[in-house]
Amino acid sequence: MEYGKKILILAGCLFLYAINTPCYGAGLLDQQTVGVLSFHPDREVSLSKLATAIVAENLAELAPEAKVVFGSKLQKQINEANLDISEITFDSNKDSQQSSQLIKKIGALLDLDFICFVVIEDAEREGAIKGRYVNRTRATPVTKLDLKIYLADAKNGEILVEKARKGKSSEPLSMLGLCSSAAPGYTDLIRSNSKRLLKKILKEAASVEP
Amino acid sequence: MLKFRSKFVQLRNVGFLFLLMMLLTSCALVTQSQITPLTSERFTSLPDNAEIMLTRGDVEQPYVEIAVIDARAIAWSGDFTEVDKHLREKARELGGNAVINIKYEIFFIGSPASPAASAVGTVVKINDS
Repeated sequence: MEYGKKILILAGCLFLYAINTPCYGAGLLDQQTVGVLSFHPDREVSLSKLATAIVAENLAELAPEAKVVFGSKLQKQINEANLDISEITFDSNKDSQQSSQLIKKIGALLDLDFICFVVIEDAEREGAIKGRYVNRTRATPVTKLDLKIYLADAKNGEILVEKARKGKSSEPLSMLGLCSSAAPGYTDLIRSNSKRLLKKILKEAASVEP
Repeated sequence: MLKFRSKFVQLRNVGFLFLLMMLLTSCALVTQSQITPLTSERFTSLPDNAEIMLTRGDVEQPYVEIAVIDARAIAWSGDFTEVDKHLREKARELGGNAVINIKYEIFFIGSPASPAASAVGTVVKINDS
């Protein structure tokens, strides 16, 4: 009986939590076209593409009423119009007039209502050794990744919300390779981190809506 | 004294077995990859003998991006032979004829005794025309 009561209370709590869980981005992004774009240091091209695709996937899941677009076609159009995303300054202390104009131009060019900028910084596996030399005295299976996401209003060029996350995967539960298939990779890390960031962004963006 | 000795032998055997098990499992790194599509378009897989180009940089010819592949494999000698083999296999499956902008790394799974290679690259189909 005691257990039955506890289960009932737990089920009730779960139900209340479920019905009160905010619908991320509800209202703000509904029926709106959101473009996911990225820029990156040259050496991180593939990681940036990976992050863009995953952010777009997560965004489509969190804001199902939004039309999410991404991909090389958008980038190609931007390049052909001689616009450079890397010229956008996300530093609020600096003069943002030029950035705002650029965001508006990109928005108009790609016919977007909102733009989600994805920035990857210093992405590297902690202690990783690049090239073909292996230093066998170091054991560092941890993946590090700094991810920043900015949501901008493409109509007025304003950056609505920015969120950053310094991601670090946990050590795999392994010694000498045991359970090595569980070793974390970039895909998992970007997927979980970007989802957390997007939830915060969409929640905050909904509240700053004019 | 004899009892203590037999216990010691028992413990030693257990320790040895544990070490052996660890060493054996360390060889069992599963070559694995995660594919993130960049297009909804599907391409016909290429035959097993199809040549796949791998490069850390970009290519000049026009191409269509298919997916990003995040692969890991064992790298006993600290090279990328296994992970490269896996990249080629997956590229063929996805219908791509090249993997570009590859970011390689060597890391260790748990200890320096288990070096592994990681590679993140973009699978593309280069238009040969």
